[in-house]
Amino acid sequence: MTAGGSLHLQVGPGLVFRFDLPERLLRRVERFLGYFAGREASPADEPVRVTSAPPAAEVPAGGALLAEPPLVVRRAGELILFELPRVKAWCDSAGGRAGIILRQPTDAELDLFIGLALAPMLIELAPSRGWLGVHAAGVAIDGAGILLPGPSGAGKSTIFTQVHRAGHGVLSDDLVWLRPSADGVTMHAFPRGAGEPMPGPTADGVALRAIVCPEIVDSIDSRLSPLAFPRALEVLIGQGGFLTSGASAGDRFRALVRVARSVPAFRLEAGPRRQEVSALLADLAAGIEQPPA
Amino acid sequence: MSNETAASGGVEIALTDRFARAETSAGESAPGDYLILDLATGRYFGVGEVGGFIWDRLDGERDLRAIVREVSAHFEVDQESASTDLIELVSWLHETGLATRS
Repeated sequence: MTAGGSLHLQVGPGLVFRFDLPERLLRRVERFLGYFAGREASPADEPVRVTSAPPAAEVPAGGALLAEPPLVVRRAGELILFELPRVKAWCDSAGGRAGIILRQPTDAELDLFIGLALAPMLIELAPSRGWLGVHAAGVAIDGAGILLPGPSGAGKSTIFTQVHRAGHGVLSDDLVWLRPSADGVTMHAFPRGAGEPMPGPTADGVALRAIVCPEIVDSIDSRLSPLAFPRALEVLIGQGGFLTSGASAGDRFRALVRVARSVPAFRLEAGPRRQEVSALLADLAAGIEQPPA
Repeated sequence: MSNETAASGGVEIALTDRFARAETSAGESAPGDYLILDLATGRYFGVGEVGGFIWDRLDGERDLRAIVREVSAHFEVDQESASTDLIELVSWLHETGLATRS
């Protein structure tokens, strides 16, 4: 019998993950999600469970959603599957549960799985608790949360670093949690695992005030311009997980639409003079109209 | 209003027909628009405010004639125009799999 253990990680109000996994996998999960360690889990929050169990029913054949060899992501009925040759994981987004099944992977294969698949799995599971995970950087300037969604290479990490160097608050450079509520949307940090070179969070649980879609450009001057809702939504949806995983995908779509329409959106063309970027964002934060108390 | 049958895009639709939102779809209002997501493909479409009004009423229970009356009253347009627009939209929703005949 493989030795294993249990790990509770509280991301924020209403979102707790409980991992019941073999030891060698559990330690890697703990390292990757180390930022959330030590937080007291609220007994009122039902955890999202990730275990070593297979799915309850036979998994139907499914088409590939994404192939980043050796990782293949497939949709199979109501499940999303994350597959490496010797690590197979399934996510039941609607049910808020998942399983990771090991077939004697090497340490390197386990590290690869954690690096490629764990965050997308958690993003798939979070909507079952009303949370969203998006591929974005998050910064906080004078208390105003600014979400910078975009694909790899859009400039998120560059801008994140520049904002940090300018002395402003930063959440995370690649993934951000969003918690929509009746009062608006709150941003929470979702930093990558230990050993990453990016600065750790200096802000967390901030109110979202603007969406800024970055783009690295060759022109000398950096520029911030209003972005129409359809385009902002398109960027946000493109970074918000798979919208083909059954009933929960509809909830996620609706939540992303509400996030996109809740705050103003902008396009940020970031030129080579990086210090201009944080100044533009600071001006934006200062000028954003605060909602009535 | 007569019992009208129309063919739109190769699909025969009568105002006595009933349609329901497909289970593989989800809708949400957006500024000046209404968006419908096709869960099977991950693609979404804007159908406008009138389209969203109609979409919300595709519950499989009321027939299209009843929806035409509601559209006409709510948006203050004549029933003939409402009927034409409704049949065109429902035909497209049916073709794309976002609505099913009840």
